[in-house]
Amino acid sequence: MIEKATPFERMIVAAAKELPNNARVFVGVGIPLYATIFAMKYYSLNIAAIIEGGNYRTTPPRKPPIIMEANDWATLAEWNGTILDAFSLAQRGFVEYGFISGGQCDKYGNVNSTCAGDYKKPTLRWPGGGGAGDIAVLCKHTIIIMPQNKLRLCEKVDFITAPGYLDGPGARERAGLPPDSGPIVLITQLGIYRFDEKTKEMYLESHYPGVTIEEIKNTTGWDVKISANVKQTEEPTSDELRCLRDILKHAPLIIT
Amino acid sequence: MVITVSEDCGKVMSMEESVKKFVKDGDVIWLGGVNQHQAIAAMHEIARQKIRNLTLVGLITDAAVLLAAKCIRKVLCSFIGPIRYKRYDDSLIKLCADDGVFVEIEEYSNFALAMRLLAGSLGIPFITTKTLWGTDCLKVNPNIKFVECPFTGEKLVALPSLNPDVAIIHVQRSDPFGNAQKWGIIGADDIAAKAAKKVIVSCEEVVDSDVIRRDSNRTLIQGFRVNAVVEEPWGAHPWFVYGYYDVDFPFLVKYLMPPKEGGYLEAINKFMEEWVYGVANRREYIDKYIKIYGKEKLEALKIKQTVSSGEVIYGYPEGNL
Repeated sequence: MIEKATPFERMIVAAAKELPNNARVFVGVGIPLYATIFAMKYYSLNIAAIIEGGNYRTTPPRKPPIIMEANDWATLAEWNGTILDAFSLAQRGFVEYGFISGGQCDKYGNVNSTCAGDYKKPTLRWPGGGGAGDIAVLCKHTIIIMPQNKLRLCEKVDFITAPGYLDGPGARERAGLPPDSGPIVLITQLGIYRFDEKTKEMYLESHYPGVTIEEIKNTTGWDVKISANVKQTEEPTSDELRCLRDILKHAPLIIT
Repeated sequence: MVITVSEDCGKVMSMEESVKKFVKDGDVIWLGGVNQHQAIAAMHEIARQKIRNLTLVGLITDAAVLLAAKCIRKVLCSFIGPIRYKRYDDSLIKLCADDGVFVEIEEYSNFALAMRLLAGSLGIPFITTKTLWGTDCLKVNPNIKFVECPFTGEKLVALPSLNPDVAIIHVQRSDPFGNAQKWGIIGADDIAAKAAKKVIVSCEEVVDSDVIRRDSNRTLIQGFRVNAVVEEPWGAHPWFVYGYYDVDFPFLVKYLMPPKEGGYLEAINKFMEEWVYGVANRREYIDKYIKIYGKEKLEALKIKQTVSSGEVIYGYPEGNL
């Protein structure tokens, strides 16, 4: 009998399931990287995983790099190159998926990884968005992965590092972003959220067994909408967990 | 490699000398790498020489020791690990402010900052891009403007060119003239070197020019653009260099992350005394590392299972002339 999935493992497996075969994905640091490796390894998907420093590979690395871009990731990649070339691919429209994490996410899927509180006098400062903004602007669909609590899932982010639907329908287009682009899902340790086609507001599509709607509401900073047909999120299977743990045992932590 | 002065145009020098000669108070500075190949030896030397009022081009840069030494006045930031804080009172930003150094942050994304360097490298005044739309960088950064395409009328983001006063770039190998070769993920070192007014090459090994000439596509920086060549083995430690060594994660955490107990400022000040001010140069730093952690610990970071390419082949159509 295999031990139950941790919140962290749940997010990785759920995120991997969002990727279709033959996807070109811009992969951010942390959970997105693990999810991509897991999708390559377990589902044997053919994914072109693009890393912002200038790299892409389609095979899982021998072990996950402890730091983004480290030897394990760059060795036997199909391409090592530059930041400009990596983002040019996205700006030219050749990258369908962007995989990001962050510090805060709001009901329109705007992500903040810059600072909390007033920009001029923040109560908390993150290192900066890195390429998260570029990914959310230049890739067609954004997949957001983040553990949820009331501070992280807030009604309005303090700073838009990576734009979602900004303040509602049509706002992305008005702000100069291409039509039909934007976040498609938020994955947390409690469930899966999607975005309403008309209102562009996030709603709960499914939650894990044992998670109550009350728990969802208590860990979200606004009165989040719940799908009328809310489902249960599939727990990772024993086989999925075995494969994932085999990957994770080599790299328990990524910091940048 | 042993080099005589006549062979190298006098470019080969110590890190101390190169920083003294080519890094000045108030400079805009690029310190190579994007996670990989961080020019850490150069950062330690700049901290020791207490160069002031630098503007750091921070495109995924670990500038902890430079902030702790209060060398930085302004950061062009897309991602700078050590500006992070959970409590302002225990932050490097506060440490600097206490000393009258109010670090200004100018907000970018990675691509936007790289585009500024690209414009600088092309010798044009500004460049346009489709990134940044919808981000709050547009609200807080007065250096980001907008322009209409004169051909299509499309509205675009406009960014001014950026020409750092000096770029210090850590590569695997260079010849004594500064023909520097780097492989692996390049980040923005290519355009930073092109855009910069002065270039210091820091390298794991100085090699004969013949080594460079046999794989000349690998040359990232033309020697005639380079002012100084510094042979600095382990120059990116505790970060990593492709094919040479990997991340020294426990060591990195010592100064980059707040400790489990006690304050971050206390931890980093201790680190500065021990590992930056407490040694004269990189050689002493490595000797100290070996003395404290043992030679095996350092050896363990080296790349042991190598993967090498097939040969790159050049040649001549005729046999011997």
